[in-house]
Amino acid sequence: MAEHAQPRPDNTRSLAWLMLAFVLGSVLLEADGLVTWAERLEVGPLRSYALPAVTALQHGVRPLGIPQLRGTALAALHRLQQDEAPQELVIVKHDPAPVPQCPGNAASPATVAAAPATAATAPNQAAARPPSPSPAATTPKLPPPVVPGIDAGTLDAIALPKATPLPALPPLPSDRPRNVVLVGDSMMAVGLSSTLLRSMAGHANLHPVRAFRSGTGLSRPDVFDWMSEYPTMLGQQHPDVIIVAIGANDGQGFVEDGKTLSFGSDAWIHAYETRLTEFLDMLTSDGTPVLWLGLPPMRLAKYNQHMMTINRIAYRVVSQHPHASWWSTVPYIADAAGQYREFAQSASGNVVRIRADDGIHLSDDGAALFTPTLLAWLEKSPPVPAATPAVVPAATPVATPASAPVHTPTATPTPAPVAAPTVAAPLAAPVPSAPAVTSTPPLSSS
Amino acid sequence: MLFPTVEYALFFLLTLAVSWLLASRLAWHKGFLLLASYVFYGCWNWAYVPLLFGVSLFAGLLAQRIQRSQQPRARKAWLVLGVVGCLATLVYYKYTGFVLQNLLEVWSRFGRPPTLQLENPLLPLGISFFVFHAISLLGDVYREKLKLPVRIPDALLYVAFFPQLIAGPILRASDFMPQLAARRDPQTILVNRGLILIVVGLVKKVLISNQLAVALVDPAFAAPQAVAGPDMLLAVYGYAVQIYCDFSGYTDIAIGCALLLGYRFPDNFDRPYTATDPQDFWRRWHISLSSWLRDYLYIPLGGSRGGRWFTARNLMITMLLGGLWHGASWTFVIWGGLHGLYLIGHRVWAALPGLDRLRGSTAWRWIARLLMFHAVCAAWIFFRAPSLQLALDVFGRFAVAGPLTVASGGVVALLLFGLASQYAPTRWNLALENELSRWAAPVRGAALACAVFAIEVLGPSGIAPFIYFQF
Repeated sequence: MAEHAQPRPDNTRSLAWLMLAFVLGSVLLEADGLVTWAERLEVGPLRSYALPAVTALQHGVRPLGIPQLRGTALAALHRLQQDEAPQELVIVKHDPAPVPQCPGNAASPATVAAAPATAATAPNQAAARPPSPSPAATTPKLPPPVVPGIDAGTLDAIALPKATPLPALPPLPSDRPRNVVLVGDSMMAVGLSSTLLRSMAGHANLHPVRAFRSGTGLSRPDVFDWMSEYPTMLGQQHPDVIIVAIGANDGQGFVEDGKTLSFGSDAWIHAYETRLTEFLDMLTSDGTPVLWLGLPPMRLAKYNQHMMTINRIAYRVVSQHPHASWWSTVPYIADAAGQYREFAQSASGNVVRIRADDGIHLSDDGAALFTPTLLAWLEKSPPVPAATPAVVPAATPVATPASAPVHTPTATPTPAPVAAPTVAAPLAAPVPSAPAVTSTPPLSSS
Repeated sequence: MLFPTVEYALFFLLTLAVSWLLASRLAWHKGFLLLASYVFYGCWNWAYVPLLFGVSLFAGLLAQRIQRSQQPRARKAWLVLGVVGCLATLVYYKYTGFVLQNLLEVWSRFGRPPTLQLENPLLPLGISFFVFHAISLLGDVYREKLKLPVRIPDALLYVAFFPQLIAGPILRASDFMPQLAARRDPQTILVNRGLILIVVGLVKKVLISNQLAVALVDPAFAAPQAVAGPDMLLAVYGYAVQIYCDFSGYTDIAIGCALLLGYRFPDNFDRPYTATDPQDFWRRWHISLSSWLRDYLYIPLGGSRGGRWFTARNLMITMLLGGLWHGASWTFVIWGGLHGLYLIGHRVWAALPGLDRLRGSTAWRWIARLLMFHAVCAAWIFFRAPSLQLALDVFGRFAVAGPLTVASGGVVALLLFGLASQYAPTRWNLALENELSRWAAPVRGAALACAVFAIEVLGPSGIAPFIYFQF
């Protein structure tokens, strides 16, 4: 420490009194915050002990009226932020929440620096959103699925397509750029969004809208509720196409209606399926087509297994949805066997690392293996038919294997793929020419 | 376990209480701190606790060998074995991917590279720091700066002590091991200084660094092509403030926690953006690393004990390796190389005759500060950008005119506050410390609770990990 200071040391007795006062003061001021913290903990032993303890604490100190200070302060701050934040920047305030952990405690996607929840970078380009009530409030519910629900037993039978064509998009708007909304957790925020944003910067007919946030997902709406946050993130902008990359934090249990649902159980699968459906309904409430990117293979075997579970449920929901299409990045990101790989050759022939250090996220170079394909797709404008439908449904581009108990939507015509996946020369053996349907990518054995 | 979390607060309060209860029984006290440190590290990934234990045990055993050897050659042999072992561990975990990538890149120029399934090992948190601690132990024992006999439990705790484990400051074995040998004095705890450091660190991390990252730096660096010159320039300044607040905030909290536990850590930052020349900057920025590199790399290379070219060579080697230490990427090497060039250029400038009056003037001091700050910012662009191309893109954007679309008034105010705070007189800290010492302990505790409450309420959602964790 600095030599010029004249320390006035304390002894352990005064330290003890000080800490005691700190703990008491914190309990009084932060009782509500502690309950929020405990509620957001990963479902497990710590949460089961912490939550009752801090809830009892909250009940004990609430009559004193001090904890309400926190609510007042947060409300005032929220008002201030709304008044002062520039129109295109909306930062949603939450309690500092311990984020969900990935299995093995490996660097979790949730622990990646929180990405900005911004709604636009160039508001002057944004078209005014058609006057309509909040999507969250008016989400048209799809009729309940007519096919029997999936459970842990039948989940494995769902085969993920290894390669998928991209669906046709509505024609480019003639009077403004196409608004491309990037939605997701850190799978979108890290690598992918920055690469897409950079690519789109040179294209006047495309306008990116950032609506991603690290450390989020559909498992824990108590931590971050996409159903209420998405409309805020979108602001006044009218989405023309939505690209979604989400799910990396969802391999965890959650509490619903007071019941703890452990990850992968029948009840969990059912609840997650419902949440996915509601999420998709909200995104597509005005018919906006959604491209859902499947999660790439992950490095750690157990985590990969969890993500494959998420992928299967998501694929089932997406493939049944009239406005959503599943798109697999496996031909670009995985090796010939559909497994995790760390190095690949870029389009320019350089050997690049395609994954982040955590073995979860894509690196910029990894995302760059398929963003040109996405860009070409986003820029493509099919000829306008004589009678343009108000909403062009995005087709489900894949067939479903006969063995899988997945209902394939009927009635939706499948337009020809716009851009077949063109894979930059891989380091390993070349990826087979993307069949429409392949068997489920094998999981790591350990 | 991140510092600004409830989990860490609970962990630390418990550790603080138990460690002082055990203060009179030194072995138990240190055993408990060692256990707590492994729990702290294990919260990230238990699988790497054996690695931490192994590296520190290896260094401790070899340090004992060096101390017990009478023959200079044997001492040197043990030192070389220890340093090579430690560096090999670091290289394996941190640079395998980098080396493989570059090897394959070269290979692909001459033919098709092999189709091996190659992977970089998962990077253990804080490995760069604990390996440097292990090397410091070996070096200080070899040079007899540490004369106390090395005890293995002390060596384990020195390397793993949780406040410094993840991101420093890098402690010298010769400074810290004697502290471990003595019983903690329960009458001389620098509580006020520790608390000020913890609160200041939290403000830097939670209120300044996180907000700047979310609202300015990350969006601009994600796609430089999407922003014009003014935004890009502010984002670069913003990153300079962000990385300072992030890293110095972490070490402030670390030093503060150690003080409450009764241990002294060295200063790690001293208002670096007030530096007037590169040498001055490195006396103020990440002091524990720059002095480590000076003592364990630059001086063994020969330092400035030779001609100009010899000194320039040593400076450049030190800074290039220092850059590489920060990350396995060419952008970090360029960052280090730039700082090497700055240091060499400054030596040339300082040797020019007839300019003493100019150099001594107040006006020049401010011009030099401005120049130094911008030179540091230019280097930060390579540090922050994920690729060389992107770094060059950032430079290219400076020439593009256009309106501000990312930076808001509030963010710019935060940025200016972060820079202006560098010029806050150090006597303010001392005055606050003395003022606090007049307050009753419970009042100080309540004030601390209020400060933490205010930071929590004002802070943005979630806590981003510290930038220096990745190194």
